[in-house]
Amino acid sequence: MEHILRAAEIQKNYGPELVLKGISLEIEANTFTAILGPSGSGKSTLLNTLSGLSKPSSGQIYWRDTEVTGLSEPKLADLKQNCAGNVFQNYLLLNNLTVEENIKIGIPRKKESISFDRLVGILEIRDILKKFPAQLSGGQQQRAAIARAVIKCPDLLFCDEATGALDETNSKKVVSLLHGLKKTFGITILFTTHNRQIAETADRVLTMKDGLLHGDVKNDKPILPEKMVWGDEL
Amino acid sequence: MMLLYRQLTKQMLKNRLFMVLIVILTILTSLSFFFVRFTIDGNVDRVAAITANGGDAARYQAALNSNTTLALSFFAAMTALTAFVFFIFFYRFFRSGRKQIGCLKALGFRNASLQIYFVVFTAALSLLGGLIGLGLAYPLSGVLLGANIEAYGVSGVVKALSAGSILFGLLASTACFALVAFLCYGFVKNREPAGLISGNISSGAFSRTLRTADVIAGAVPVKNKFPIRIALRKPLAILLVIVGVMSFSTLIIMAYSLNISSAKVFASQTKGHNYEYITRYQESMSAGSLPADDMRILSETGKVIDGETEIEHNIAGLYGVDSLYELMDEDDKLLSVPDRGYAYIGPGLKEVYGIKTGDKITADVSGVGVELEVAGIAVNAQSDSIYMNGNELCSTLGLAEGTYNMLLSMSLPEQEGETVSRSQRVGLLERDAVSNQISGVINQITGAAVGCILIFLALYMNFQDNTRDMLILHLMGYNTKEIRKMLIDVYRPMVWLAYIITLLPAVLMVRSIQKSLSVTTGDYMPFGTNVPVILFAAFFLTLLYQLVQLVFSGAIRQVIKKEDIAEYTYVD
Repeated sequence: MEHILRAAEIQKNYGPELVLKGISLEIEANTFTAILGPSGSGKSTLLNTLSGLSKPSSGQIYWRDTEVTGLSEPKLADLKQNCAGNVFQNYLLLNNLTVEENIKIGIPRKKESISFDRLVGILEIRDILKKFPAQLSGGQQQRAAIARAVIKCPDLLFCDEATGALDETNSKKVVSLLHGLKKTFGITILFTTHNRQIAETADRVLTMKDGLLHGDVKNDKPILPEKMVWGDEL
Repeated sequence: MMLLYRQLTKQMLKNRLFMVLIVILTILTSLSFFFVRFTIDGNVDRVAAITANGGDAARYQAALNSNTTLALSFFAAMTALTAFVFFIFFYRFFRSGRKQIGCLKALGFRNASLQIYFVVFTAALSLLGGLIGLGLAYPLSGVLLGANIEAYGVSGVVKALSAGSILFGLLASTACFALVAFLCYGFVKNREPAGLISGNISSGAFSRTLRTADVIAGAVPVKNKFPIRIALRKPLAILLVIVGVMSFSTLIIMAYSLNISSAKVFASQTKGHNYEYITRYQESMSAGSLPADDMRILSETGKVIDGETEIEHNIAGLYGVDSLYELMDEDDKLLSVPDRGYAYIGPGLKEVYGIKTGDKITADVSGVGVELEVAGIAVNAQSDSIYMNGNELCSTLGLAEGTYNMLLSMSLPEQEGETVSRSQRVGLLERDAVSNQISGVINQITGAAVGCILIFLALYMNFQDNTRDMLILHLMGYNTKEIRKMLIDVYRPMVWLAYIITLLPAVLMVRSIQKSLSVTTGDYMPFGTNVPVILFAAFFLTLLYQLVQLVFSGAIRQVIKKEDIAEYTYVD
């Protein structure tokens, strides 16, 4: 299978503290990969580094054949706009824009996007399009944030604890939607979580501890999101 | 891109009060420049025509030059001050909005796109303020034009602006503010989107601030520890208080000094000047034609050379000093005619150029120079004049001893010349004072406005940052008064302290501004201040603070009334 993302010996330090201690991995296209680990294990730092939101202190990262670690800021910005989407734990919707505007700001300049109507239908957010983020529940905000990240039909979707601020029902819904989007649009998803149940819905589970990858398991029989049994957190 | 601009514009305009104050400052910046330029541009090339019906061309020309320098100085000071407020605005904006900026970067927006937006927004805001200032300056400049008409007897003056002035007044400050916006984007430019989104700030700098705040708070009585600690954790608000107070005191001291300056000049040109008439002759008059009870002076236009410095001055030769003109030193002791090789200088040369008794200077008339030692300061010397021995000046210029071209007398001299009576002379001095008083009033108004705005901003920043704390304190059972005491009142002693600390620098600054203005315009403006002025400024400052505090007391009540903690804790 084609490797859509490759990382070689990634290290990241904040001052004297080494947070990522040399991580190498390859991600296949159109897969859902969970990065599982307790708080402080370095999974968010790894995801930020892989998604180009943070530069590694050393090592290389490739999106397909492009080495993103060596790109200038404008080129990386263009690449992010066209090829990658991010979903954050605290949604990070732009508070001065309506849901509709928040989604449309994600439409890339140089690439065809997913039909807006189709996407809002899939994510069930049609009735909140004119509302502002402050008027929404957490689950609604996260679905709007997913729509913003996905409308560009990215090659890679990076989700950092995307269900971390949601209750069980909304978490299941979000995970289920992400699996659906992967299937429908062929998006490759990397998803950090400390919830083992969510990880078990993934095609592959990478386990992190103390800035290192401790496990890499291909999940031949992922459980369906709606079958998740809640409460199994690390 | 439109959505990006909409998001950023709404984000900027959310700071409504800050925006309004910034626009007011940009208006004041432009107003301070155009208000004066309106009275200069249309008239500076027509001085001869304007003064043809009896106006004083030389003094009017000097006033125009002086106003040009003043306008530029004010404009530069206001631009610097507004640029500082822009800096504070952007510092806070990028600090509080870093998550949103990080989010935009994560969405793939380039630094260049964001940076250009902030530059363009700032430029647009500045131009808006500049144009309003220009519009307001037109009617207001009538006041200064009227003063000029009255002071210099000019007629046919017009209000006009040259294209150069319009471009300079609008674009120079705009470029400066845009540059501030461009540079301030540096607060987020090189930060990774992940760092911005996580909301981490430089922990080193923050912990240093906290440590400093705690050390200072440790030295104050227990009941004041908490408010002091809270206030000191916002060094920018404190800096704003200091800058605001210093600007305020500088402008108030300058306003009063300009008034005192007029009074000083008036006194120096009237005290001991007991003659009724002063007559100037085109030709040199010989000693033989001298009336017995009149006082003759030989006054020539020349230069005073002090080392490398050449100063345009009148070199006057005295033959005798009597009750007509009692020349006095700084201790009000009467001075006699200087001996050969000695001279008396006016206070202007001492204050502006630092020439003092005992210094060697050269008096140069038409290239013929004579070395003189300064024998003393004649506080009531005629404007721009030094006095030397009359016979020595005659021999230097190759004239017969006793030659004169100026006569001071109690009655109209028989020999006709250009005569000015005492009442005319006093009238001219009073008109000059009117012009300075207008500048003084403008200074006072600007000082009060700027001081008020900056102090208000400092408290507003504190208020914005503490809104959540206010609500929490209220939920814990504190009442409005207690909360105000804890979070707002702490700035009162800081305002006073800032006033005391910045008083001396403000005095020195005004002194040096007036000194440089005197050098640039050639119009001596003596500096002066006194204890009542300093007390008045302190009182006025306290009054301003009380007004601002009153506004915030109301605002605290509003916050508590709403009791909507979600509104103040919403994370975007």
